Amino acid sequence: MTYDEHHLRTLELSVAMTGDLDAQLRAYFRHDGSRQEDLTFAFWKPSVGSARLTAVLNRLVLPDQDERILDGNAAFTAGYLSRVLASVPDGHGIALLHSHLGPGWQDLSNADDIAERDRLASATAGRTRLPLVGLTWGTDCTWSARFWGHAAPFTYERVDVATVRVASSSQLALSFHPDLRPEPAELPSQQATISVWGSRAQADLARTRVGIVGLGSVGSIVTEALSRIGVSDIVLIDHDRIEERNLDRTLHATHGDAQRHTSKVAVAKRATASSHTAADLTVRTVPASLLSPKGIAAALDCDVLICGVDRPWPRWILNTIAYAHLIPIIDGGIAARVTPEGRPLHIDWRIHTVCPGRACLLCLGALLRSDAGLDRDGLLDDPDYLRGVSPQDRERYNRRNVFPFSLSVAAHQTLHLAGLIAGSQRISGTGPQHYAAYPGEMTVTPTTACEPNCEIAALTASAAPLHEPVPVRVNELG
Amino acid sequence: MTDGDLVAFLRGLGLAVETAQDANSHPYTVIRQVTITAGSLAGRTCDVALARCQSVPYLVAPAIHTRPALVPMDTSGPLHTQASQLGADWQYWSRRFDHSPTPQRVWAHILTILGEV
Repeated sequence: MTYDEHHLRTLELSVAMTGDLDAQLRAYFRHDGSRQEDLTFAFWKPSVGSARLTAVLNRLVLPDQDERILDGNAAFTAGYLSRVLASVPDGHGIALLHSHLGPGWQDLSNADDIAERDRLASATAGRTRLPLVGLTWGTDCTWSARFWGHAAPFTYERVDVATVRVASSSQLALSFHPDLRPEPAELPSQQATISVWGSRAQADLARTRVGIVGLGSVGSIVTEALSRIGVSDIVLIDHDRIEERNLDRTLHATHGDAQRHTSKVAVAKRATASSHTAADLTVRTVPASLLSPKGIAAALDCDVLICGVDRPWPRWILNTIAYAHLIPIIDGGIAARVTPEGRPLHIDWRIHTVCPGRACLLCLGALLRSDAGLDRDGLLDDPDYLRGVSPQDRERYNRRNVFPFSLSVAAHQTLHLAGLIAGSQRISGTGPQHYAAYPGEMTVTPTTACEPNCEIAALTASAAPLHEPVPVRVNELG
Repeated sequence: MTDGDLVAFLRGLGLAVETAQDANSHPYTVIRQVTITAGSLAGRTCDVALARCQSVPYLVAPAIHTRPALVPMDTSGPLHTQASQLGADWQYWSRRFDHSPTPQRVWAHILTILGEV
């Protein structure tokens, strides 16, 4: 990929960081009792979607005492820059982060402009082959950001980012560019919704790009819920088409759809056209598997993803995206066991949000590594293999479900989303939820964290590629 | 963990390691002449193959393959063994691995499978 100004203008640009990094920066930028700006450098990795490039910040390079000049404004020394340029790891870009003394999305002063465009953009791009990213912190914790694209020899131009997202255990905090993602007007059709969680949460929720992976029973209902509450930017990812056997569980699917084998994403999009309350609704359909490069790229365009698939391998991919690319995943699962005579024995469902600061699907016990491996290798579709698995495993792979179970899971996934964006546990609950249909009880785990050696958590903010073929030649090691 | 980490660990144990491919060109790590030290197969030696991981993060292939076949093919019984995609002289052992991957754990997984017979 090239990162010249022209190419950057064809993309949506974004920046992401963890809540831990954001908290570290907040503490660093606060100069109690004095009106003092400050700055630091950081390293970032590119997360490349189909239409969006995100700079995922993963490490601060804080200045030593004599590496910056503070006189109300803040400036970096040549020595500081030299140290940063010498230490940037391969594949990483460089970002300059500085604080302003006012709230909201920040524009650049003339001095800021000169520092980033004339002092830094060429040096950092020449060293890393990635564009300089500039970020500005406002006193209300709003982040604003821009990339600097190569426009002509010795000339770099600013291209603004649309969003900066901070993924933490308590909130997905989004800062929106006021022109690229303007605040929507409050509409009479959303009056009841806004009366519950307020204008601020609604404005953020409405502008959040929500991806739904899997448009079966749960995903089709979640799409309807998002459309009703005013979410205005939805990405639908599913390669499957409607069949007769889907009609008892898929919202808005008709017998005609089954006969025509209408794609599931088309059915969901069609329904939003008449149910949405947003002034302008964008629904992008991606009739591809999440496991395809097209599906993964579409997922990396989103701010948050809702998982409506029950196969282990796609859920493994989504689990990785949540940490490596800082796109929280709201996952749900239904287990229904029946007696040999076909009567209900035990039914339960779980809903959980995974992202840095929370336990991943593996550490929650919601996904088994071995199931992901078997699914990846195609064994869960191999009748010979399935004949040999234990009765308990076979129960897990049966994926029994009825529409009301999906209604419940979809409702709680939607509430997890609203609570995550609003930063309100009074909407989402305090943690992973587990509902047992008998006796009819929801239990909640207030806090969770990944195990110390979790390989998923180890990828946090790495923007690791999700399919990386490792070329191996026979006997290369022999 | 990476396949390279596993290979380095195994070589550090003094084992000979090479690679192979199945009919679908999927690569495997092959550990030569593993001596089984426990169970009814104690004292026997075999080659052990593990499918290499081509995705990120590393996902251990839970099954192992042995050359030669050490036990009868037993798809539905307690041994859970069957023919291997690696070839007629290999045997597939269907197993699970649900730990965070480290070379030590993978090696313990292999020895456990062979020592449980």
